[in-house]
Amino acid sequence: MVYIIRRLMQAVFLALVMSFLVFAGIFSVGDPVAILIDPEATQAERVRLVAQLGLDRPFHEQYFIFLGNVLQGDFGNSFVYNRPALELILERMPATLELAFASIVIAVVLGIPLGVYAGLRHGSVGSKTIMAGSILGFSVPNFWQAIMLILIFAVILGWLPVSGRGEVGQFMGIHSSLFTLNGLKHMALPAINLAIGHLALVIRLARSGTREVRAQDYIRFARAKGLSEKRIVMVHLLRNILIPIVTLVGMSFGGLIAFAVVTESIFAWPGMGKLIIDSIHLLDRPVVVAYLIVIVMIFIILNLLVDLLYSLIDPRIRLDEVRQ
Amino acid sequence: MAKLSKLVSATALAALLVSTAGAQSITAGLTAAPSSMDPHFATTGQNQQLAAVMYDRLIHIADDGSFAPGLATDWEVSDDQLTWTFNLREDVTFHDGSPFTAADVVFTFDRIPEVPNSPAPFTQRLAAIDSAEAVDDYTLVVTTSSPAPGLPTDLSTIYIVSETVNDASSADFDRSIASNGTGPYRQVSYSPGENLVLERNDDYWGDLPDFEQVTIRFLDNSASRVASIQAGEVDFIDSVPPNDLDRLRELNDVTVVSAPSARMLYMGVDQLEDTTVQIDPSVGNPFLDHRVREALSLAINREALVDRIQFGSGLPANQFPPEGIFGHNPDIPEFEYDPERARELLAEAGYEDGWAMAIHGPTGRYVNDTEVLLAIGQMWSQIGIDVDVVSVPANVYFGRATDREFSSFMVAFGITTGESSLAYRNVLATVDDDRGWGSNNRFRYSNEEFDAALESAFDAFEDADREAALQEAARIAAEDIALIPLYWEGNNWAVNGDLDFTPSPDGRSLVTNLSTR
Repeated sequence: MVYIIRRLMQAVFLALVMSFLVFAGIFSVGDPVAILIDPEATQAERVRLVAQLGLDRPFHEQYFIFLGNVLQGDFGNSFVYNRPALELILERMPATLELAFASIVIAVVLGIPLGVYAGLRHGSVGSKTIMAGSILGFSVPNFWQAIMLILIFAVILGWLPVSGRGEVGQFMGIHSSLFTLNGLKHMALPAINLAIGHLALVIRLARSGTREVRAQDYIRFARAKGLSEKRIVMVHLLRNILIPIVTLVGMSFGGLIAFAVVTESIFAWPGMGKLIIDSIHLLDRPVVVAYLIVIVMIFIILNLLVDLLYSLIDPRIRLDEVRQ
Repeated sequence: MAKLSKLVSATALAALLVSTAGAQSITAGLTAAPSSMDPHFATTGQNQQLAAVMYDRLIHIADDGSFAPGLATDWEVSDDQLTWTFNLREDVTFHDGSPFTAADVVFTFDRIPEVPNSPAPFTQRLAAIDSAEAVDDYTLVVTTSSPAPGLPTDLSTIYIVSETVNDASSADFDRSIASNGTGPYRQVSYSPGENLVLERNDDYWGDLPDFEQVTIRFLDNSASRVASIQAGEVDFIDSVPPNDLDRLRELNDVTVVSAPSARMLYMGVDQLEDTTVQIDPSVGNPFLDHRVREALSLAINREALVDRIQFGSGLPANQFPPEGIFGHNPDIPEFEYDPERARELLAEAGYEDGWAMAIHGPTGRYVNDTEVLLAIGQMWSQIGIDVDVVSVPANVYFGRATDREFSSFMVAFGITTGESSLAYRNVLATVDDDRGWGSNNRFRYSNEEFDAALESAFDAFEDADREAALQEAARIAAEDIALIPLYWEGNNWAVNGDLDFTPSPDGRSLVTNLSTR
């Protein structure tokens, strides 16, 4: 428990440092009013807007006002939309979360069996094909994959929609497009697009883990004991290759949530990634800062979950050790 | 077997029903998402092209640029030119069924200054108005403190909302609970950054649009926008990238509609002082010399910019208003391309060896902007100037341009009001913060003669006088080579083969301009 609290304290400190860096960074990039304002506006209107947004104050004052408001739970209003920044982000979070979830599921459900197979049947044609595919998977640029997926499955074959989020269904109080056929169809291409790179990594990790573990004494012993191949793979092997994969999945999930920017913008997916990239373009500082704080929190929570999972998978690991 | 054929015919019938329903509802893919659904939040194009189909103005603009009756059927101004009387259209109802009256107009005028934190407020467009009074339900009297010939133009951009809006915030419009206009479509739902669903207002007083329902999706990625219309997922897209025009034209079930826009790209050159920031002080400021500006203009091959870089989309420009926009001066000659003459002029001006400088432009703001700037850099190099081309991300660029960190830079100004006075007031008039002139004059051109012509345009009550004054301003700017015009950007739309799209002069992607073939 102490451990968890300490981690959360670290998180708060990290968020504070990060908010300062981002705030200073955007402050030095330029003047949001120069981009936002109507070219037809007069000087008087410009001056009034600058004052309304509080941009006429010196940097340190702006930052302390911001900090004071954050302590009261107010991340400020977006310069562009004039709505609370946090509200804008949270409103788009479900779309991003469901996409990240779907692609992680694809990466794990396909990646582990393929990787284990490639490791067990090392040198076979099947194994070589899988490995060649995985190299292709993480070396082909993400945006190009996306456009090819659209071209093949949406334009030429017409099986799946080009872009957008489909119908949103409700299940146990959760609204998500995972629960409708139309929603799943819309999600298929962006989820595959996001998954491909991670799938390739999971395959490689599972394969190298399998090759290492299958030569271990306990696997030989299990074989000597006459256990079925199925049991050896499913119980003894799988459990032992899982630690690096869990780490990877945990970190990938954070990355998928925070940086699905390319996929979200090509597939017009109304998630946070698209919001953040638009906000950066328009120097919408409140949204950028709030977003990064939310992302820092997500990463820290995921790290924590990964650590907790370690001790579940491998009883030899206790949290004190993880901490070291 | 009989059962099967019955099933087949039932399916066919269902498919038929679906396809007729399909003709009644269409989906449009627009590039730019609005910052708010509040029609009074921002004057930006993406906000206005949506507001314009849901809300009427007192005065509308016809396709030829002239005024047309909107919610006001006619209007007149008193002899002292200070009192305007508007007769309002009767039997018009808002989307919630309540009747439209003069009180709603007064409410709208009062609401506009109260909309907080707008980055592009409408207040300037009401600045001339001293008071507005509803004399009776269908008569509105507006007084101004000084004669305001521009009032009808200003009012043609003010969206009238119902008094029932009350003290609703901009966010209430996003939630579709405050949206209440008199326009041909009414707002059903809006998901920010995703889509906007509109339904036809069957009680509309004007021409009814062809479609019962329009879903507008916001697709800012050009590749997926083009793919969406190819796959038949949307019926209409705007901002077709010029690079894709030929490919789309070859498709049978897609029609490409192109029209020149009133958005002119230009190179501004610093004309304030004897030195300029991007050029070595020992050289001085060459741009002060008319011959140098003329040489820079002569060195630019505008046809090539449009044909090669923009794939034929656009028109070489010689003044802000293109033909068809009020104030266009047809007597101004095309700006020629003559690098020989340009070199001679530079020599005459004492710059036969040229000088070294950086030129600046934004990236990702205008269509193929970096390529255009590179081409200009090369064209200027050919007349002996040592040019360093610098492309700056748009979010940094405009702040730096306003801070006058550039000596020679590329910008566009789009005319959205159907006439050229605002372009002149903001870009070319001598900077004067008190009266709000020259707010975009980042290169500090200044000519009293030009300012006088513009002033008389703002003061003129008769259209003919105004037009003459604006044309005079255009002539002075062109003769001075106040800035170096490049081209008017082209607008390109693609529509599904069953539909027609009629571009309006302001270049907006109005879904009311879509019709069945």
